[in-house]
Amino acid sequence: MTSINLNWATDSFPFYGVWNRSFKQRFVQALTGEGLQDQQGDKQLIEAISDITMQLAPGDKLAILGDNGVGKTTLLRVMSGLLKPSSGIAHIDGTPMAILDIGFGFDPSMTLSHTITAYGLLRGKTLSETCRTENAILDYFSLSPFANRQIRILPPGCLFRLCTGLAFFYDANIILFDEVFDAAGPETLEKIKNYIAREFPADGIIAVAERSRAILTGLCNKALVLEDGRLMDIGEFDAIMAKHGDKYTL
Amino acid sequence: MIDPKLKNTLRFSVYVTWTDIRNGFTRNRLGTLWNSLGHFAAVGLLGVFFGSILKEDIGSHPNYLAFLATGLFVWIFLSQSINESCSLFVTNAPSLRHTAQPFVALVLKPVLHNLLIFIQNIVLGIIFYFTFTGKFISIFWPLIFGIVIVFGIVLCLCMVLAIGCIRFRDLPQLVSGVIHVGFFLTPIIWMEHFLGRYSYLVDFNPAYYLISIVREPALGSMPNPAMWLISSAILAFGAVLAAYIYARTVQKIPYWL
Repeated sequence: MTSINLNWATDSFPFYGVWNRSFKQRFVQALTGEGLQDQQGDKQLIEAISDITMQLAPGDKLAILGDNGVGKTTLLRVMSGLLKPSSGIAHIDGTPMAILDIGFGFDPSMTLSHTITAYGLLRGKTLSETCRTENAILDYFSLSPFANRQIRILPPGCLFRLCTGLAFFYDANIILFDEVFDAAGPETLEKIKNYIAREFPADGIIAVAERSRAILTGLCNKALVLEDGRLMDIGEFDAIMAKHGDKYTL
Repeated sequence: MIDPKLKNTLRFSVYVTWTDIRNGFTRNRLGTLWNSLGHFAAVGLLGVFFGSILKEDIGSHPNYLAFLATGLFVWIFLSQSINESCSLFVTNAPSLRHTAQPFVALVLKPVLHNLLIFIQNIVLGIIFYFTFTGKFISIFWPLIFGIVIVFGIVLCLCMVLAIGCIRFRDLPQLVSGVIHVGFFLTPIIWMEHFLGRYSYLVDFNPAYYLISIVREPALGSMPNPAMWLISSAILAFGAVLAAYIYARTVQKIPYWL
């Protein structure tokens, strides 16, 4: 049973100044007990999300609304297990896959088909299973013309389709999308919505951070609003959209 | 950080290295053989030059070129792996930020690639030696064990340095300096006995043990049991240190970028 449980999850990002980043300085300080340079104010903590408490049950499809810089990406990264909150608890049950816009995390010199195989191996599949999955992904998202091109020369739209393909066909049952649908054309959007409606496991969880009503309607059953790193509102999709839709969606 | 099982990570890394080598061969016809060509050219040049300068000291050593070659191959493996690990955060910033690839896999990529070139160099060296002298002098199993231990130590060292270089931005420069000076302080171009009554000083150089456990079997002599012991101790210490540092810092890595 998949579920996501956050309890007072807070995530702070430390930002280090020059002194903190220097091995020489730290070494000298360890030896002599005093630094060579002023260390005051050299480390800043920025709280990206604060005290988020929420539960997602199996089958929930969540829309995440909010302005720029309120912590949507951080929240998604915590929900996918890529980051552990600096305080509070994040409990995630299931196989998550995060589709973020910060680079997709692939090796840029590998070809598309090699990346699919490599991911399969990472998930514990055998080579023949990865072969079948590769054909399925290339077919479903019309990526065959790009199969032998290296990742670094592929446009973001293709990378998005690749990433979504990996999530769908390698049995991730928690999928998190972070403002990546702008790269998707109407055909891709249709395919994704169809797949989620029909083949995606009924007890899976999806979370989407998006601004477009066209994408969110028909997909999500719950929504939450983030403001300044804090959870401002959470509830049924239609209710939240009625209250906050005009402010956060196009 | 999503931490897949170690076995899956290994399969992933081996596959990535294989595709890397394949890409190398499709880009230019010789692929990794170009690397070996460069290394053998270095052996030739250094061998002729330092062989002439140190003529009296080398004296009756039968195999100066082979001695130099194996030492150099181990050193190239060590220094190339370290250099590529120290700049890991530059070449792999998106992967590290996204943390979809396990950290061990990112470190394994350059280390496995360099290991393959290292083995290729050794094999080619043995073939050349046979071509020129008609003799196989290498002892097989100790050589294999030596290579395995060297690989283990280099992997642990690269893990620690990769993490350190992400956290401390002036570490790559320090490491680079140590490597440059270390080359001359390690018996690669010169032999231990050149130091006369100060020969014991090489015992303080960890690279000396790494090189010896590969060089001696390659040149046909069984290394001192003490060499095996010390190398294994370095490996054990390195593994514990790498595991400890990894466990303590792996979750903080995305924040350091």
